[in-house]
Amino acid sequence: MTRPAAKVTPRQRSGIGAGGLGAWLRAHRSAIAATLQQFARHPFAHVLTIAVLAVTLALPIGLYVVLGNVERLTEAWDTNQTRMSVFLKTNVDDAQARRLAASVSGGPGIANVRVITRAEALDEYRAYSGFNEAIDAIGGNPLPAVLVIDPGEGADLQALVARLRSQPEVDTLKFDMEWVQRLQAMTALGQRAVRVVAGMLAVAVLLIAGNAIRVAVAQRREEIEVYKLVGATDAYIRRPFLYTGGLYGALAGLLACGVVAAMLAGVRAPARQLAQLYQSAFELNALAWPAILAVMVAAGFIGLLGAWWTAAHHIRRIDVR
Amino acid sequence: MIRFSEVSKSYPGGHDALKRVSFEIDKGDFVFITGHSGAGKSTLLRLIALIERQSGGEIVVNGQSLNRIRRAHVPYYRRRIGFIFQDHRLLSDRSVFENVALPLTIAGLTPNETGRRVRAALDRVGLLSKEKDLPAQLSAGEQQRVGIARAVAHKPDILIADEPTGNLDAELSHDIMELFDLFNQVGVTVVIATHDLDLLRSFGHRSITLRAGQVEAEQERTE
Repeated sequence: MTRPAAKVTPRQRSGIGAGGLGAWLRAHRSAIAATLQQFARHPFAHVLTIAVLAVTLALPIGLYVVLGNVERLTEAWDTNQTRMSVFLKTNVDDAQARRLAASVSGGPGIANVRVITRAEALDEYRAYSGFNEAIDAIGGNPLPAVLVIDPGEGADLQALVARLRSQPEVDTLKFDMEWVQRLQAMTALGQRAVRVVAGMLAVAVLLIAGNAIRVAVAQRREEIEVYKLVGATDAYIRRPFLYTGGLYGALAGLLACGVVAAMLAGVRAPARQLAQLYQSAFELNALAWPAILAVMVAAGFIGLLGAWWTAAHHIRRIDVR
Repeated sequence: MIRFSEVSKSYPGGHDALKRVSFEIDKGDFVFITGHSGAGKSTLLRLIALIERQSGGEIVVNGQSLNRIRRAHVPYYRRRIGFIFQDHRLLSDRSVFENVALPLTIAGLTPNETGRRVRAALDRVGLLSKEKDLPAQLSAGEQQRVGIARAVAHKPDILIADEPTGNLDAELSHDIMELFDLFNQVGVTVVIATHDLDLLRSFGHRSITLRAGQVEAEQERTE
């Protein structure tokens, strides 16, 4: 900002020193022009810095996106649902499994029973696990048949579990929701971890941007001396460097979002397959524009802060030799 | 306009560049500061431009004691002074026009006003036709004239030059000095440090001779 010259009496005042809003706007316009000129003159150095910042930013952004998706996934499940999987012993064949299903269905507290035969289990496993050859090598079918049971509303679950466990064909029994609850607990933990990582990487961005600006200031030392000689304030000299820091952050944020979007696109198809396996229409959420904008603003602000921190210090120390 | 009262400047390590120097320069004066290298000429000029601060005594410029100018106000103070170095200190990646425009842009003048003043300054130093050139495309004498144009573009009250002809031959030096004379004639106070005694004599302005940081002699204007 251009302040009026201090303690200048009219007699002393030479024909210079326009003030006011116009001068302030012109100063910013010329700072932006100087910033863009610098980008045009040395594109490689700038691109390199932006790339380093983008890689640093991509990690926390990626983690946030993954966590967000996991969270959405687990929220989609109604955790009050009490569907259970009853794994039968491996020596129980499909016919026996069906007989057992028939005998328990219609029993107290049971709304629905579905049989996954050993062959079906193997087919699903082959289709999604990718262990085709390993299964062929084992020979035979190592997988048990499974009864998927939906308990009726208000059922006495403990009695139901006890009754099912007492069947000689039953090996183990699992509530599907157990792992969802575990996943939710892990997501909560993961969120904390991501927040810590994001905080650390924000500091890294601050340092990287600050250091890049420090180098830029050192490289332009002679120019800064000339500016000081002809009456530029520190604020005036600092301004293009601040714009540069902000631009570094914002562009790196955009680039990082691009990298994360590309990674998401890469895992979209496998994720859809996995969702189908669980009879879910779940789709990976990509980065929305508001989120990208928020990343750019936040990263730009950090870049600006880093630039301010070093530029202010180093420009202050330079004076005409 | 410029008054030194018992001004001393010592550097860390005990070197005394100036010892209790006193003199006065009136508004509109043209004064040569002369003496051997190391006599304290440059230090004296740097104190006037607030590139350095004196260790003792008082310097008053334009009725304002320099002791009382805080660091934050130094840029505004410098906008009232034009400073010319032996090495012209132009920005090599900017055109002649942009170099001369620098103090005006910094002071926040409109582009129109800036353009008008830059061309006026370049016209004065005879380089109007070279405004689009880069400094490296100019001769040494021309580069120094661009430096002078930059120093006068914002119409300073005082012009200070430290060995402005140090790199130039006798003829070019004479041209440059005539340029300073021209600015002096329109009321600008001019202070030039030089050890070129021939040049000094041919212009006959007032001179202050330094020796080992002290005023050794003062020569009044000879017409």
